[in-house]
Amino acid sequence: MRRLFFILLLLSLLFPATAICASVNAFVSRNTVSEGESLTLSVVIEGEKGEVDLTPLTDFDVISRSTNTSVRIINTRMTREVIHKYLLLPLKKGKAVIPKLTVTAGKETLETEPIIVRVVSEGTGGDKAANLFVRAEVSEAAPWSGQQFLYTFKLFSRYRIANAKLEKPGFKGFVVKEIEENRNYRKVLNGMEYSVNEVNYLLIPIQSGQITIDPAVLTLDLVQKRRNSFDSAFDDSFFGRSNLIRKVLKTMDFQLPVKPLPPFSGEGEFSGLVGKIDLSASLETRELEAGGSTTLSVIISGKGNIMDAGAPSVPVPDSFKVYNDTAEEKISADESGYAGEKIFRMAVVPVKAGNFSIGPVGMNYFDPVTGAYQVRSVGPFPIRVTPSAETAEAIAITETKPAKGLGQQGKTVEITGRDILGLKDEITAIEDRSALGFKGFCLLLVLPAALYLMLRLLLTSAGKGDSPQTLMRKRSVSALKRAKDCDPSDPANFTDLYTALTAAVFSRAGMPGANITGGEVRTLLTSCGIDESIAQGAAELLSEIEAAQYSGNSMNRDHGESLYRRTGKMVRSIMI
Amino acid sequence: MKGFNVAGKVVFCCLALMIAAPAAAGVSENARSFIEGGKRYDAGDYRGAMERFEAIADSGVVNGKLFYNLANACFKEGELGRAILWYERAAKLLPRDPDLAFNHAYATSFVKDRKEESSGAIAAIIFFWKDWLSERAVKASAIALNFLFWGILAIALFLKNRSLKLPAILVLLPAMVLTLTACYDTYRARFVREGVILPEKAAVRSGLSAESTELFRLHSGTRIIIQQEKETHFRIYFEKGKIGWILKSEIGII
Repeated sequence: MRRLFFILLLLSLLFPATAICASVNAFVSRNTVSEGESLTLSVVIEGEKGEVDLTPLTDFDVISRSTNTSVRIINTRMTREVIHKYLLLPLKKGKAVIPKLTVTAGKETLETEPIIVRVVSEGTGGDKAANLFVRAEVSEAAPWSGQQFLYTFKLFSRYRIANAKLEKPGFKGFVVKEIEENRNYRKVLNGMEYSVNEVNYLLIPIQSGQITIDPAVLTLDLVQKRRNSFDSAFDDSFFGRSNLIRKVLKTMDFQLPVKPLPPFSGEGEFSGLVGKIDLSASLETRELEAGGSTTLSVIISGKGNIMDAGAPSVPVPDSFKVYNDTAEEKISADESGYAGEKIFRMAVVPVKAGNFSIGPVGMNYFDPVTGAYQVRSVGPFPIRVTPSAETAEAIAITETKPAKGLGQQGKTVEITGRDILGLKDEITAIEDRSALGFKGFCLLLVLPAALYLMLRLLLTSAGKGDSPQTLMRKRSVSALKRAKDCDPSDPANFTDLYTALTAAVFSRAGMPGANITGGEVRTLLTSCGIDESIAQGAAELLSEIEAAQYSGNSMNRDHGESLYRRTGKMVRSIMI
Repeated sequence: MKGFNVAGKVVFCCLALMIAAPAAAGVSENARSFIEGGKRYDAGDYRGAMERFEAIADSGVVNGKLFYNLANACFKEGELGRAILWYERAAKLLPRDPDLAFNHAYATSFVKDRKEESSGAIAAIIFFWKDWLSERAVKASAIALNFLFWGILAIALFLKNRSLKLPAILVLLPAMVLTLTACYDTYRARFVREGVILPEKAAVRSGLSAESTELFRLHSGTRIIIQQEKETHFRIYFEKGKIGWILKSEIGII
């Protein structure tokens, strides 16, 4: 009995109870954050693997998740620990609650304790919350439709940062231009100095009403030094001596009430220009001959959507011809908006003599400062036309458009708008154009080969196979090939040489045959137009081969090879 | 007899109409949908235009122009993912259409995700014809050259003319290249599937459950390669180091 007791005690020490209850704990990296700043929620489950139900988490957006598992054995006791980490972004200012979260660990269901997070305005108070935040601003809280304004994204940081990546808002409902030069400067806020990175976008609303500008999201890494004095000499992330902590920051969205332009009740049509616009014009010469040319330059300048300006209407007398040239733009975009000038030049050619007046040139635009349409007018320009040697009719017949240029070089066409091209409206668009299936493709590939083979069989069976000439040629070639592969001193070799030479003669004569005498060789070849000396040579070679064939004696190797070479040469000279 | 002949003609015409009518009805239904789709697009009802064009595509019609129109409607409706998907499908059928190239490039400029690795630049130079010819054109050209090659051989056989050997070889070489290209296209279509992300944002996870770790996110219009398929998920490859599982419903296969 005592022995049994000690055995049980020993076993209980060696194998502790495995029925360890799981436990769960939840905590955050910080309980005070700025608007748009993220925090990390860690849920630690000890004892079991478990899954966390985040459904009740409504005050935060879950940006990313990760899971780490570790197993520890301490004093023969094994414990498992699973840590679920979530990167959260608060959705509102004030008190944001991480409620009790249900954790399913094995067969147990556990709950975390609720956590309250204080979300403060960016740049104010909070435990380290003011050290890193983002802010978005607009230069115009309630712009008019077509009025340009600036959207500015700013990152305020007191940390070293790396790998910053900005996901800008979609800016739906706006024409957007990013101001290329990003600004970097230092600024003091509430007694603390920040490094500020600024990105600007020039926006022009193309529709009226309540338009939402989505939040901008910035992802970056905070460079955190490792706590090791040795590392101070190598304090650079390149050497891998720093920790990088991933952060996600988000601005708030903007609800912009874009005001529609009031109805235009002025003369003519509204030009479409919104801003502070000026108009000027000049006439190159005020006195010229009939048929001569002068240039009227109209300049629309100022701040606003000047690039949208169209050529102004210029009243000219009926006896004048007007030729418009391509407009020249000198427009830049910076933080104050689009500014510059657009120059319209037109050549004016009077046909008749007299005193006339060109203009006035008028233009309207909408001034967002006054909230009213403005009209600008310049001119009229008096012009005196003296008679020319040519008659008016001659001028009308012979006048041509002034040479291209009017003092300016061609200018690169700039894109003023972007959209996709229209539909294809041909009814052929509903015809099925499926590609041929693979089986059908293979079938069509094989078909012509099969037809060719059938044709070949047909021709052969109809007796339209190879001609005697071709048959004899083939026989000669194959005999020569056999002779080449044979031992030159082998008597069987001479049979092949004989066949090769006689077949070549018959091939040249265009007739079938197997045996032939030397005299017949000479006769046949000369009748085919072969030179007498070659025909004689062929006859002599045939005799030599026959002698070697029927002598019964084996030939030495060199003589056999010589005979083969001479036969090959003769065959080539005989056959076509 | 005369009356019977007339009656017979009438019966024949009725029978012919009965046979032809269903086919004609099917064709005219697509034509009506197409015209209606165009009208709705012009009127600014892009959703309605999408539905009309998609109905024609669902009926089995494969046509680059139809896919182009459907992509335009999707783009105007704000569905960037579907727009890119249909532009990709149209590009396979109309590789040299300038309107398609323009619209596709413009729509792609809105895609938020950018790959860091370049893909297939050298292959595109070597196999330059793949960007010029659609799959249908490659197969048709291969078949035509093949017929020409065997035709030349047949003429040479009939006329016993050996001088046609060189032209036959000159035809055989491009025929072989195009045949191999067609075979490669078929292999690629069957075994290498590419897709496009459809929703505005899609999470790519380490596993098949919604609780699996989110590895990275992709946005609408992004092109991916499908490596593996399970019941509800695809395993996708975006670029080196970015592989994971995504819901099938969030991918449109090109």
